[in-house]
Amino acid sequence: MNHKFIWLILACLLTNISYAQESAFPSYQVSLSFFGENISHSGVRLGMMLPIQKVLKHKKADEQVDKAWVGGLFLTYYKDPRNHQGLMLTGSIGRQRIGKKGLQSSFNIETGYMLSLLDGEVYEQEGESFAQGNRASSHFVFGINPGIGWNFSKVTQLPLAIMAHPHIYVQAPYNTLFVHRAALEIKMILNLK
Amino acid sequence: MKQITQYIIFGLALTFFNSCTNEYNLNEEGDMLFLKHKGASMPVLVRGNFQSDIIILMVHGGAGGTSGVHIEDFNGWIEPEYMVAYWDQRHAGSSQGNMSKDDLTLDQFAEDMSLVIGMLKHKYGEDKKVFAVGHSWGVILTTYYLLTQENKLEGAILSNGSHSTEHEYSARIDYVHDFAQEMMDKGIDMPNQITAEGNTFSDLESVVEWTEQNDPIDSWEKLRTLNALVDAVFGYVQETYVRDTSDIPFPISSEEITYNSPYHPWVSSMNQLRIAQLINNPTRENSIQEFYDFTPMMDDIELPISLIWGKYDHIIGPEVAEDYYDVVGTAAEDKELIILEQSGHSGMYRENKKFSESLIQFVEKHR
Repeated sequence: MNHKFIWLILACLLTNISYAQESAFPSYQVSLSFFGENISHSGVRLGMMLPIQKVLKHKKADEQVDKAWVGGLFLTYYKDPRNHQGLMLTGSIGRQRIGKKGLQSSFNIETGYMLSLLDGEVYEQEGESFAQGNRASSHFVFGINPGIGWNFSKVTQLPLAIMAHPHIYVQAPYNTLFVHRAALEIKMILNLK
Repeated sequence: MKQITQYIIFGLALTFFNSCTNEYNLNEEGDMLFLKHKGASMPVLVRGNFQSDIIILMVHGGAGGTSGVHIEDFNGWIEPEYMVAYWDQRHAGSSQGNMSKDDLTLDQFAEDMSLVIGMLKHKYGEDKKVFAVGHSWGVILTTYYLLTQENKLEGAILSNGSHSTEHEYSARIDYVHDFAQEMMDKGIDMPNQITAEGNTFSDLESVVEWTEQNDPIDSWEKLRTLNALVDAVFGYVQETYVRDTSDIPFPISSEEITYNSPYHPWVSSMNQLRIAQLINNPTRENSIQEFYDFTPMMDDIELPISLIWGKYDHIIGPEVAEDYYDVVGTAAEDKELIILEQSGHSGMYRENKKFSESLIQFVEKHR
């Protein structure tokens, strides 16, 4: 059991050892995204991703399919007007695949911290009167996001990819339990060799 | 694959453009206040005529509903006259926070209501006169507020809620019995077979017989059966007596609420499901709005009361309003009962003009 665990860690840490040809995956990826909670509550998301354990597959002699596990770190801000503003610092682990003609897909699991700020005037009782209240509250977030898009490096050599990611995630605590949220992310990825 | 991608892009674009329509400016007009209290962050959207010295406080139904759906009820006639405060109660609508489920009590809701009124007066001036509009569960809450808290209201407008489940269930039994009999007299069959608490009802005769043998409702088992039997007549009553469209002057689209308002349907539905699980579920026998009776205390209420009631309500019939009118301690000249002849549970929506005119008349008389 312990040996299996050590091998798993090593497999995740040691990159670029399982192929001889050049991978479509770079050393790093940075991303800038439109992030729309409930689609219309717009925001922005910055990310940095690290492809690990890259694998090449050749279905035919000149057709290369790239796959990799990708770890990521994201900073997300969005505003749900008159409800709340969300600031999330999250990490993700996911699987990316770049097809032979550049079709890129991924599936990611993401978790982290969320700071929620009430978007309005906040009051709390203070004695017989009222005072301005604290707008902030802390939450845990956990979610999944599949993605599909296009990696331009396969055909045009441009180190860019564009992806669309629907997000489903939960925010907890929220009232007496949690709340589920959905978002759409349109992500531009810059591949850095 | 290409065609599927095109459909997805078209769908997303359509949704996005829908989200850009802006009929009401719910994200800009008025003020958004939050009351933070005992773990809850309760939103209060204040709209309307800010020059007025009257604030109408919407006390929504549920428990676990939202005041957001009532914006269209008040936007046409009442907002031009008065300020309207749309309060989402704790764990309801777009209310947020991190609270204990032990704080989901009638006493806590009433305390919240008192603080919301206090906050509105703090923000807009102590001289503002606040009238509450309670709908359904909001009537229970407003009544309990009047019975247990120091009153800061000038008056209350109450619509299709209750002060006593004895009368509520009696009215519901009459609703099922009388309309089942009417359907039989007209030769109309029961639309569907109904099974409840191990009993199967295949025809209207068995429904009528059950209502005659089980009045009064004094157990959860009987209550669940009665609630199921409402379905035997509900469709007929709606089709025959209830206005099939509303006379609201400015309807609000679901897209507007979903994409351009502080009211988030996913969040509201999650709140509603959870609150139903915790305090509002007759199937689990944990509803705080079943089997209670405020009647012995009603004489303590003396402020002006207007009861504006949909006549064909399958949940809380007009008999409840009649009893409320009789038992409340308010002087005869300060209370009134107005029946909306073509409405069910949501008279303020179905007969919006009559509801609004009645409300304005009442407020003007008692301001």
